[in-house]
Amino acid sequence: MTGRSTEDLVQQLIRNLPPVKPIARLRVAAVGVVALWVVAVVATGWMTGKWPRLGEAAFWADPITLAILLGLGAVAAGAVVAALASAVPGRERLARAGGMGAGIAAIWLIGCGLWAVGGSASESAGGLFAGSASCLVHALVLAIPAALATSFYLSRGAPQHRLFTSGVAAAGAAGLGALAVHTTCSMAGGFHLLLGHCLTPMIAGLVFALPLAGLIQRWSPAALES
Amino acid sequence: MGDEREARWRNWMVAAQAGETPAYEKLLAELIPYLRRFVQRRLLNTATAEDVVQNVLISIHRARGSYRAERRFTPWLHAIARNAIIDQARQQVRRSHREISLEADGVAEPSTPAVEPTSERLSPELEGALHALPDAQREAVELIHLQGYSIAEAAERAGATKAALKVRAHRGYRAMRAHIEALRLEEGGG
Repeated sequence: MTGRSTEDLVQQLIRNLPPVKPIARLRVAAVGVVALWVVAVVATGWMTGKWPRLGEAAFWADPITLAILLGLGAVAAGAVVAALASAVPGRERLARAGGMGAGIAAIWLIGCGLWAVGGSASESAGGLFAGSASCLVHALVLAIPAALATSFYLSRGAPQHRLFTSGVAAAGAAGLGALAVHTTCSMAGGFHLLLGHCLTPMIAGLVFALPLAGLIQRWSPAALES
Repeated sequence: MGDEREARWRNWMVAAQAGETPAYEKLLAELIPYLRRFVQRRLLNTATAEDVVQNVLISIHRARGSYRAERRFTPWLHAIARNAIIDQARQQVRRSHREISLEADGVAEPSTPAVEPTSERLSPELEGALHALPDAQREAVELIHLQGYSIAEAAERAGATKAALKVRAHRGYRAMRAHIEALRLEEGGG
């Protein structure tokens, strides 16, 4: 037993009860994240001249490109849904489903990347690194607005497994970034597709889980009040 | 009956989100017995049930912004309560691992007191938390933590078994932490 009764605790909690704004609906938050991603894609397209090649017949003719497109879309959707839902108590089932979907899509992506590696001619190490790093960085830049919007939402919620939540948030945002990059990039090397496109969400999820968890914590109303 | 209660709790929570203290007080008062039953059914160690209930109440307070009126209240409440139970179980496992490793290293069994009684060195916050403890828990915390006695020596001085003293000390630490958290919560205004 504690030194203070539960009834005393209630009295402490009800004292100075500031009004709080209820968290936004998941659907609204998801639409907001996607809208910011679209803005980022349009803004970088306008600045760099790199636009999605969705109108090119060659883009739709390559099965590996399409398989990666599908995988990145599924990782992004699953991970963003998992992150947003994990911030709302009672939505654990949706968070788990999103996380599982993202996990399966990640395995699919690794398979696609290996398929691309197996089917492509050898690439020079220097060109491979430069091209892959360029796409990775481009994807991460495009992911920033979505990652910030997701983090803001999560800071208003009550995520239970903070590292899982921030990891899938980072993976989801990076998945959106990689999806846009995949549609604009015209490099065809197998290793490039694996390192610069397919692995981007996983790399971001691992590398940025901790910093994003810190940001979410910092933005939480309790932290801002103190 | 269930639907009526669901609607009542939902309305009170919505009012609490708007800052209405009476509604929040009614909600928490009705939740306490409900949570006690919920927690006791799921805990192996029912001695810690009241601590878990208090943790759930604090979690509800912190997470009240994450509730939306168009969704049912009880699944939201159950998720928070389940998480508090899981946290409690994890803490217990961590604590027992720590105890085992300390005992294996002989750290918990020093032959002489490590320090002299030092309650005057405590911060006012800690001192307040210590004095709020029941006598048995305060004695256990003072003997082990402040006066540096080994578990065996402290148990002998308190006239209790080693296991009982450890339990008292752990409950004391937890109560002190809860006391300090509540104080900070109060100071932070929510």
